[in-house]
Amino acid sequence: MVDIRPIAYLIGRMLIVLAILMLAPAIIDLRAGVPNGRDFLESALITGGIGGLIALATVNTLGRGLDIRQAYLLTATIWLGLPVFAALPFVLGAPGLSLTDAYFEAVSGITTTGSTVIVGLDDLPIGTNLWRGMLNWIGGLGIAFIAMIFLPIMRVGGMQFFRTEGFDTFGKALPRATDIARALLVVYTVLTVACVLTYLALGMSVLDALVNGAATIATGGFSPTDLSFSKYQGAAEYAGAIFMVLGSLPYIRYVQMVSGRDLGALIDDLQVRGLIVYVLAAVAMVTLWRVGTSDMGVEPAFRESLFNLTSILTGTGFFSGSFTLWGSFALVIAFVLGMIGGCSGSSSGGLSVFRVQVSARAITAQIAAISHPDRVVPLRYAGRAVEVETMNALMLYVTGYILTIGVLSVAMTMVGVDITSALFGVWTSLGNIGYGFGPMLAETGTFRDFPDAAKWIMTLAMLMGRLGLLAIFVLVLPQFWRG
Amino acid sequence: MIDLRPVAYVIGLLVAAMGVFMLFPLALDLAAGDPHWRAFFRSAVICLVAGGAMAIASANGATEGLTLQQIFILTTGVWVAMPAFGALPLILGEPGLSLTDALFESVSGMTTTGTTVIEGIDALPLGTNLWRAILQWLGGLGIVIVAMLFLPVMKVGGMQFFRSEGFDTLGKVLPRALDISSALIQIYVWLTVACAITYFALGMSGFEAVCHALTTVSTGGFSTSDRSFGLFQGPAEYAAAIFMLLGSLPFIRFVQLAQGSISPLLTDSQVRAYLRWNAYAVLAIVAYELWHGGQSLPVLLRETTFNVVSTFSGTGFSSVDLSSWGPFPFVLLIVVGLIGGCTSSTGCSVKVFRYLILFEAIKVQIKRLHNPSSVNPLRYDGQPVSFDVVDSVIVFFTLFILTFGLLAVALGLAGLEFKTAVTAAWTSVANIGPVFGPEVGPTGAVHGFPEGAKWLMMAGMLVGRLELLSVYVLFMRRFWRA
Repeated sequence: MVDIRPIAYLIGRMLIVLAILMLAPAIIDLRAGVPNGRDFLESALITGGIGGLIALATVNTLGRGLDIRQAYLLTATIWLGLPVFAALPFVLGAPGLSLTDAYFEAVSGITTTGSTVIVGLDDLPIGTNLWRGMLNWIGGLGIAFIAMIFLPIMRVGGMQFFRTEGFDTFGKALPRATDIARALLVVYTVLTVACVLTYLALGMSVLDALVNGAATIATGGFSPTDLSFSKYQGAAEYAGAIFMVLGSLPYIRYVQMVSGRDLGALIDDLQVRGLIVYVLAAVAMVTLWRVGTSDMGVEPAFRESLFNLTSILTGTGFFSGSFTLWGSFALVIAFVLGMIGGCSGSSSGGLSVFRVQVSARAITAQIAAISHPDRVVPLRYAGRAVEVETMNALMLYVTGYILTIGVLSVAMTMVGVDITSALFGVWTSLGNIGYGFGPMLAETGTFRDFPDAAKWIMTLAMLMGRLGLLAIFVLVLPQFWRG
Repeated sequence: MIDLRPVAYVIGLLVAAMGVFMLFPLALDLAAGDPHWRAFFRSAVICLVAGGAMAIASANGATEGLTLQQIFILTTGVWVAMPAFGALPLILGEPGLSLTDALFESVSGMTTTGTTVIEGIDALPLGTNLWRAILQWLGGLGIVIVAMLFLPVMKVGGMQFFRSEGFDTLGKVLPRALDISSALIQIYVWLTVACAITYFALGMSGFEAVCHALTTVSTGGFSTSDRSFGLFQGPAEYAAAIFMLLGSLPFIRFVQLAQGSISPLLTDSQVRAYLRWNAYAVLAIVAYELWHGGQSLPVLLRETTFNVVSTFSGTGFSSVDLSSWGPFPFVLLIVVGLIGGCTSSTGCSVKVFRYLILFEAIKVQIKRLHNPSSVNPLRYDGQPVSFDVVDSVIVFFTLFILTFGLLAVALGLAGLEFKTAVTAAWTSVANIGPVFGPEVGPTGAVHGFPEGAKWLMMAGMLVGRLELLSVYVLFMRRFWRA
């Protein structure tokens, strides 16, 4: 049997932290004299109380660390359990969502997806919008941490390639996980502050800058307004695009740069280069197409393509302008970009640039092997040989991802969603993107009008995408729970 | 340099043979007193002369066997050359198509796709409709032979797994390629004859029965009417479903059956999975429609069975308007089309075998995740599967989806609506037939598509029919060196 007490202990402690974080919106709303403040206080008490009880009951059970199965269980429990409590303010206070909607919103926040079910964001109390931004921000930090420390050990979807990297190369300077976590926190905070200040300088209000800044760096996409970035057209879109890209780069490279050991770490990284090439290629194509097929000027066409396509590739989910109405070609390119996603080791979702690059190499190698079976070329990435086992795990991840999109889309249509909305709904959830297309979103631009069953499917998809598919599948295996 | 003469020799012979096949529609039109026979006469002469000249010119280079490179060039070469000549009667005679349209129709035929650009099929001369059916029949036969003889040697998409099977198991009885081919041709002909007789008995005219049999067994999907099987609702749909299923089962099992052993057919895990999945899909759709208060059960069951099997096997006949069934049946049909029939059949798409290997590999992978030290060998049909095969299968699947995606992008760029672009890419790469979307004509014909889209679809059909990699390899510089 798996010993779940250490996991419970850690969860309990995290709930206490979550409760403390809830105090921020509580205080703001209380000071503004909005009754919503008391609802936040109540949520904080419930969360903190339950967390405290769990932690007390299991105190002293955290031994010398977790084994691999406990790591799986912890990761899954965090992402399934924390949103339950994070959703409390949405149920108890404004906007008084149903349980389904509230859990959807909270999961969407913590998984940095950014799909929302709330219409009328501008009228919400400041605390609620701030809380949504905070959810994105915590979730982004959490996933960057897990991607750096846990996933390589868990060998999920080819991430074992980074195993040595996270611990050896890097380990010489910063030997322990807590040190990595601290360095990550610093980088993440500095990026967020820079983003918020830039937004302020470009004319956003304080609340808008804070929430959008947090959601940008987390590649989350919750916005404090129904208009998302349509409200700040112009320079803010360029700034947003830049910070979204920064938030979807591998954090380990920042840490290496900051620790002064390798200033070129970021620019030399294959993933970073790949991501930038993908963005530029897609933007160039869509801009040319848009300018050629409509009467839109070059600059607005470029700006909107850049902002929206970056938002989709990085899995942020902000939108601006009329991009969703541009039609088939832009839509298909967007779909492909969303499947790719940002870099491994960041808060972005999707397949990740790393997996796409390795798959492309594997495919080329396969074709080469077919024409000359006698000459075997080993697969290399970033100058290192990719082991067959890693390659297999990675390719199966890609395959599993595609199959999951298929299966969940079918499930969505079964509960009454039309085809386009179903496909894009699964795409946006599994890739933690937050960008919606389709008739079901046409009226409000949100996911409010989906049937409840469809919302649960999308919630599941967000969690699966966030935890690397297999981490969820593995928990369903009976062998996992046995010896 | 690769010696192209043996390749040219074979292609020349095949083109000439195609000229001989044109004599059938020629005779039919002649017997009907339709002056349209002249179109077939001219086409046949062109084929015989061009093919014959090509074969004679390269005869001195013809060798006993072919090298691996030559096999690759031959496979793609055949599927490019044959449709080009097969298009001649459609240009020279009725319905006098443009070059693009004629090629499209011909490629769609030879790849057993079944998408048509012709509206008003019923009014065509008999010869033309027979010719369209013959194109599919030849295409289906060709792909079965390629799948059995060439693909395992080419190591395309895990087909090397069947290498021993095609040659060893069978080889004891039938030692040479020629023998395998002739055994296959016999099976194929008998299936077609049985299908035609069944159709005739169920009330089709002799002409309709023959044409539909040719396109059923080849899982092609061309019909002699704009309404496709809408004309023959009833028992004929069940009969068609059975023969479409037969056409998408591994033909090697039929060869073994003909030799008296039925157990290989019954125990083949691919066959079992394929039939099971067909049943699941039918049941799911029937349940969904009943729940939403559709038609009566017998009609529903019949229409569902027919349309599911038609899509699963990559045939593409239709009997009712699928898009009016609601989102779930539609999406399920799309999914089913992405699975496709069994290997070494006339069926298309990814194929059941590859999915079975994929699922097995994913299972092993998940087990390894939490228990890294365990060694779980991958098995299929009781035989161990080598890493090499698993890799090929995974790469094939990824490449299939990638090709599908890129083709959809390109079709979108060529000016098609989103839904049209996606279903057109789907129908092309998986060689199915129907396209859905606003640009599609009321009869399902795609004559209204932009020229560029038609060429893209042709490329998709060819690449999909020849299992992607065998075509892509020609674009590698390494292939042509040494």
